[in-house]
This record gives sequence, C-alpha cells and structure tokens, in this order.
Amino acid sequence: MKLAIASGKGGTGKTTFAVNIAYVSAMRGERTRYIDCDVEEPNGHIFLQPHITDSVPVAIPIPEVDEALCTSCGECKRICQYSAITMILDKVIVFPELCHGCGGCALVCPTNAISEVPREMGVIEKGIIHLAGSDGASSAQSASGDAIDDSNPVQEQTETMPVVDLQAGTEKVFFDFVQGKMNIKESLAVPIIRKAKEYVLDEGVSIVDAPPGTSCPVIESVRGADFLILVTEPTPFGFNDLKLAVETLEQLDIPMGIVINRYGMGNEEVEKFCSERGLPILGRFPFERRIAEVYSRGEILSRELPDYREMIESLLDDVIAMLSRQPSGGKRGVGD
Amino acid sequence: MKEFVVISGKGGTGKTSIAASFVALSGHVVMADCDVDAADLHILLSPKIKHKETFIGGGLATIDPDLCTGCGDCEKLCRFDAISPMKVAVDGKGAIDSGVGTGGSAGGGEGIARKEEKLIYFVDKFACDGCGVCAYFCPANAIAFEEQENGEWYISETRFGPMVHAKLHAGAENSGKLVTIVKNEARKVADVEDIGMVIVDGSPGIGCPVISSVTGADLVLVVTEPTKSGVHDLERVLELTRFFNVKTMVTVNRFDINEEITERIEEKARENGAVLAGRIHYDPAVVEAQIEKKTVVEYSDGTASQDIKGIWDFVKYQMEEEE
Ligand code: SF4
Ligand code: SF4
Ligand code: SF4
Ligand code: SF4
Repeated sequence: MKLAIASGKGGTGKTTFAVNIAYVSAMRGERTRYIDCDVEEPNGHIFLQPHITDSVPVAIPIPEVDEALCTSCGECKRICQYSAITMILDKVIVFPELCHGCGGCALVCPTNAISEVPREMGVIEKGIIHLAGSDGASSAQSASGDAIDDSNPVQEQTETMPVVDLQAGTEKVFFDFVQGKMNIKESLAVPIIRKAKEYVLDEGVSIVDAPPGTSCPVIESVRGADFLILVTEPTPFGFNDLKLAVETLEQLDIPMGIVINRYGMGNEEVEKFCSERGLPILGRFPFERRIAEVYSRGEILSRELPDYREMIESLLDDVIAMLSRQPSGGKRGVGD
Repeated sequence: MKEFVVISGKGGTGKTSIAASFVALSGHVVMADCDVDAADLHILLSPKIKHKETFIGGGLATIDPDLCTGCGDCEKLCRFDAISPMKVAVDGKGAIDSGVGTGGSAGGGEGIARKEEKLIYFVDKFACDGCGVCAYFCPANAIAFEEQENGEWYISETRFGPMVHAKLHAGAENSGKLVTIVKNEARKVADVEDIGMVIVDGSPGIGCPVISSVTGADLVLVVTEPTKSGVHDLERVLELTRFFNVKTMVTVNRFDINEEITERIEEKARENGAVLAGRIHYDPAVVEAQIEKKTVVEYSDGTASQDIKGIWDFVKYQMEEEE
C-alpha cells in the first residue's frame, strides 16, 4: 500500500500524521517505510530519529561545452526550454542552476561539442528506525552485550534491511526510513523527489510525506499512490489551501480522504466543503495544548498519547477498508 | 523604495497573518503575495482586481495517436519517464478505433501481435517536464509541444493600498518565475504610485519560489514557531538568507507553547547573525480575525496584536538603519 500525505500548505500537521501513521503501521507488524519527499524541509527524521545508514547523492546531468568543437551554431540555445544554455556573442554559456538535465542540447549539437557532467543537487538518506524506542531496542542490544547501540549491529541489519520481511512472531519490528534532502540554494526539488520515490516498497506499506503546496513537487510526490490523505485545519486559510489542493490533486485520480487537524478552532467551512464534494473525513483531531507540547518536543504522538494512537489506528483502518472497496488494478499505475 | 519580505521555513507559522498586519499598520504600502502556491493574503485583504494577466509557464508535449508510428524513440529520449506505450485497437485502415488501454505497465514487449492492434505512445501530462526534446526528435512529427497557461496574476486595490498577487493553476510549475513577476510588478506599482515600501508575503521552503522571493530584498523577517521542526527549518532558511546576504530578523510565533525551544531558536538565530525581532504570544484572536476577514491588528487589541505592533516598530527602525 502506498499512502501519500499532503496538504495545501505546510504547518497543518502533515508530517505529524505521516509519521504517526507510519509508526502505527509498523507497530502492527507491517513492513513499513516512511519516505520524506518534503525535500526542502524534511522533518520526519526529527520524530522518527532514524539511524542513517546510507547516503546517496542525487545529481542531474548538465552540459559542458568544449569550446574547441563549438561552431556557435546556436542549436543548443534553441532547444533549451529553460534558458539554461545561451549565447553571448559567439560564446555558449551554461547556467547550471537553471538546467533540468533534459539532455536536449547535447543531442542537437551537430559537432558533439557538448558532453554531460553530473551536478549534485541533493541527497537521499536511508536509515532504520528502532520502533520500540528505548525499551524494545535496548533489551535486544543489551542481550548482545552492547551497552549503547553503536553503528555496528545496526550496520549488519542494514545489509539485509531492504528485503527483510517481518517474520510472524519476531519481536523486533523493522521500520525504515528514506528522505530526500535538497541542497540549500538549489531550486529544483523534483529530481530529488523522483529519486526518493524509487524507494517506494513493492510490498508492505510506504508512507510518502509530500511537500506542501499545489505545484509540481506535490504532484510528483503523490503520483502513483494508492490513496491520498490531505491534512487541513478548519480555518479560512486552511480551507482555502485545501480547496486548491483538492483541485490540483483530484486530477491524479487517486482516492482521497481528509484529516482535520486542530479541530475545534475556526469554523465549519472545511466540513461543508468535504460533504459537498463527497470527500470522506478520516479524522478530526482536536486542538489541545498537551498535543502541541508533545509535538513541540519532537516526540511521536502515538507513542506518548494512547488516545491519539487509537485515532490513528482507526484512521488507518478506514483507509484500508476504503482501498479494499476500490476496484483494484485500475489504469492508475502509469508512473510506476 | 524598500522591500521587506516575510518568510517562514515551512508554512502555517502565521506568516501571512503577520504580513497582513504589517500592511495594515504601515498605512500605505504595496503588498505582494508571493506565496503563489497557496495564496491566502487575499482572504484578509479582500482585494478588488483592477488588472489581470495570464501567466505563460512551460510547455507540454502531446502525442497525436493517429500520427504516432510506435517507434518508441520518444520514450527513450524522455528523461522524466513521462512517455509510455499503450496498445490500441485500430480499424482496417489503421485508424484508431477506441482506446483499449492496457495500462502503461504492460511494458509493450510483445509488440504488435495481432493486426487489429497498434502500439502507440502517450505522454503523462503530470510527469512531463516540458523540455520539448521528444517533440523535436519524433521522426513522424507526431508530437505537439505547446506553451501552457499556468496561471494568472493580478494588480488589485485593497483598503490599505495596491496589491499584486497571483494564482497558479492546479499542479502547474514554474512558480519561481511567477513569484518573480509578482515582485517585479509590485515594484513597478510602487514606482508609479510613488510608494516607499513593498511588503512581500514570501513563499515557504528553501526552493525556487523562496529564492525568487528573497532575491533583491532589503530586509527579511523569518516567522518561526517553537517546535523541534521549527529549529531545524530555521537553520536551513538562515543558511539561505545568509547566502543571499540579506539582513534577516527572526520572530518566534506562539512562543508560549514551548519557551525552552523558543530560547533555543533565538540562540540559533543569533549564532547565525540574525536579529531577534521579538516574540508573539499564542492568541486565538489570530484565527478569529481570519474568520472575520480582518488582520489581527484590526480585529483585536490582545496579546498577539500588541506583539506584532512592537515588531513592526522594530522593523521600521531596522529599515531606517539600512539607509
Ligand atoms: S540539458 Fe536540457 S535544460 Fe540543461 S541546458 Fe541542455 S537543453 Fe537546457
Ligand atoms: S549546438 Fe553545439 S556547436 Fe552549436 S552552439 Fe551549441 S555547443 Fe556550439
Ligand atoms: S517518437 Fe513519435 S512516432 Fe515514435 S513513438 Fe514517439 S510519438 Fe510515436
Ligand atoms: S517534453 Fe520532455 S518531459 Fe515532456 S514528454 Fe517530451 S521528453 Fe518527456
């Protein structure tokens, strides 16, 4: 199951839900992976505290011009849709930060003056999460004689981690983590999101934490998901952003449901909109100071607050129920 | 003319409510809503649109199924995995009957087994990056590549002066480009109407739109909140503003949710060379004001409102110091 969590804008609690749904899913013994596609501000790690075991740079190919071969014909400039390669007098100039790496310029260059070199724009980090937190994980560790889990035992597990399935009856539940992280002052999030999404599991549960907003990075993150959860809050801003998000994302033809966070503040507009549009409301999470405080400390709410965990459990059950009613194998999987 | 930009690492920190309050306090400024992805400023300022223009963003490829010969070149060329094959039924003359789509994942390996089927390719418009490469190289000239209307931008009038804002169409790209247009137009309006300041409600994040929001600013205010994510986001944003060498101030909104983290944020801010602009209390009046379609300083005289007024005085002082 691929679940995407998005919201019209940041700060609605999107990451909180993504993290908590992933946590609850893993606690139920599902092979679970949390994938942070909010590459500009990946925050899931703050709550999940993964052991980062691997880090892979993400690069796109950009052109490099061999001036000796260039005849200044201008073909490269003409094909580039992003003004990333241009000519000043007779000289070809590349603007690396504008280049999308489409390869067009190298293809059209009649003299093969253009070769492509990688340009790093971010990184994919992989890690594992010790689910049981302090209790479960440390007891396993102390049995093997290690006082503090240092990288060694973790490393060993990582070798097999990506293919490990949970065996029934095993106490240690594995749960892993992938995040895309864009370098500061880069401007293109999409290539990093694409890479991060390659880590979506074929089996098991993948929770994709999408970036906020309504433009291309969100689409890229959500594309290919089985179900989409949109998180909003019942305020005029929340409502406005939800409308925009629904307008955008309904084009992807993915079943979706709404979570209202900070329920109790604001007004009824969001509820009205959902019932008019036939959008199921998967949960209403009250605005409470104690929740805000646990959150502000960077803790996993479902671990700290049993009643919160119950709400997440039933949310997840609802999603699973809705998906099983969904005719499977539709025309959707285009991007897989 | 001065340009003052309000940003936040992530959204939802109260950035727009604060920016709108500054506009209300300032008397006469040009405001620019650069949060084109999720524009909210208009809710508080009720602009009346005076002038409207379409925003032409990137291009989009579409394959004409009747012309496509199924050679597969485009799929190989597309670096954005936007093109995949699909089998369709054709009538005797080779024209397409009806889309018997097998779903892209069929792989298209088995080729054209039966006479009445044909392999064609199609573009997933959500995956297409608009590079135009496929259209350029299609041997059958079957691919149209056309510029898309990606949004609109407006010059409006509000009770506090002119406002430039925009709406990006659903799922459209190039929001950085649109942000630049909004900012430039706001500057033009300020020039023409001889207004001394532009207040920008910036975009969230650290990517293309926020880079466009910050470029050329005289002063930036980062609105953050006292959570662990807030600390983390602030670091990334400050790295960015430092890179662009803009004078940066930081305020912690709803600081009373967690004063300990507030202190940590303020320390981080200082370490990174930012100026502390003050703290803002958690105050339900902020949302109540939203519902009334007012800025919080118009709506209430409570804690948040007082705090924002204090920050605004400080902003003005910092701006003058800049001269
Ligand atoms: S690779 Fe594509 S985007 Fe980059 S410079 Fe060449 S044509 Fe432009
Ligand atoms: S296409 Fe090749 S030869 Fe022509 S201007 Fe570009 S780099 Fe030079
Ligand atoms: S390159 Fe042109 S003819 Fe070949 S598959 Fe693509 S659209 Fe069809
Ligand atoms: S325009 Fe570029 S991104 Fe779009 S389908 Fe063609 S090759 Fe792919």
